[in-house]
Amino acid sequence: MNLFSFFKKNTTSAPVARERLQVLLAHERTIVGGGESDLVASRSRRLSQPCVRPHDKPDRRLRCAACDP
Amino acid sequence: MAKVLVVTSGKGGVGKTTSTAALGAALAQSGQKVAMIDFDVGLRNLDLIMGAERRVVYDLINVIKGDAKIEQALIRDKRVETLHLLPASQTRDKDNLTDEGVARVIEGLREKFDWIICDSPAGIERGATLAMRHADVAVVVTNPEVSSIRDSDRIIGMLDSKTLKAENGEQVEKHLLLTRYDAARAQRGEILKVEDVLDILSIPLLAIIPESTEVLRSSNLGAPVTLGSPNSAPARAYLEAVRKLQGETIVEVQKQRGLFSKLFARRAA
Ligand SMILES: Nc1ncnc2c1ncn2[C@@H]1O[C@H](COP(=O)(O)OP(=O)(O)OP(=O)(O)O)[C@@H](O)[C@H]1O
Ligand SMILES: [Mg+2]
Repeated sequence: MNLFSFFKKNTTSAPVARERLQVLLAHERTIVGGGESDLVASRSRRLSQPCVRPHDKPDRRLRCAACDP
Repeated sequence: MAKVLVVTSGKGGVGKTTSTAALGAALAQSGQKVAMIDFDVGLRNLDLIMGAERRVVYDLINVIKGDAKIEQALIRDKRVETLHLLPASQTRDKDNLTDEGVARVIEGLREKFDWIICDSPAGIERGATLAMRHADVAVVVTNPEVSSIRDSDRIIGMLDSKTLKAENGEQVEKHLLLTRYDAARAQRGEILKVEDVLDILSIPLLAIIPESTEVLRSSNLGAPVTLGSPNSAPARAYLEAVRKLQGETIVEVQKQRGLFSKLFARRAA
């Protein structure tokens, strides 16, 4: 057991859930909703909004399927 | 003229039927005329939660097909006389649930009731889209858990695009009902906090329904929790939700809007 795993065990999981959801939904609002019938909603979901990618920061190992296919 | 309220979620088992029964009973207890419609064709449960399972003669599909009149199919509650239930069909084919048929049923009920509450099935298929189709108000039932939140987000997108209101350029009034919430677990960081869920979904909060054994106890007895256990924490939360639905304008979300909801607004404000 090293220092890293000690900290990891003590980290609560809810903030991770929040961060994962934010990344996922930012994309699903522009992509998943983009089917023909959801068009109205997807259009209003700011399609031009740039992707805020937490994984641009090297310390956060989050991957994003839409940006890094 | 009734308000049509859909209780929806996307994800299954989060508490839609429990909430439909509790909200419906609470609204009726306040003197409103309420009709609850079970849209879960093939898997009806609202009759059971209401303790009316042995009184079902005709159902929604019978009415749509013209086998029965709406008055014959509606079951009047024995405890609250302004509360009525239109059960789903347990056996019939879902194909009979038509857009036109549902429209006719809703229009017929609008004249006679103050509230029509549609208990949506899980998923995003026909039953769910038809349950929300005529809605003026939507209660999005969500558990503080990743898959439920994701599915709620999808449902909110559908409320903004697939409902009649949306097609007419209007908005369905959306409310978040956070159910099965365990405050102690949220405090320990095991489940998402209320603020986080609100920031992500960015619709106003109607109420937080705590996780409680009283819900199970009431459904065992065939009573909505607001009738079966009116002083319990979940019942009080549902009663509070009904007070909000009946009038107060809700402003919380404006105050609580965080960075995420600002950046990724579902609708350009
Ligand atoms: N606040 C609560 N506390 C404890 N248990 C609850 C609570 N709300 C709902 N439940 C339980 O969760 C289960 C699912 O509830 P319910 O049937 O209302 O969900 P649903 O969303 O209608 O499901 P479905 O998608 O299958 O229609 C039931 O066993 C119910 O008793
Ligand atoms: Mg249900």
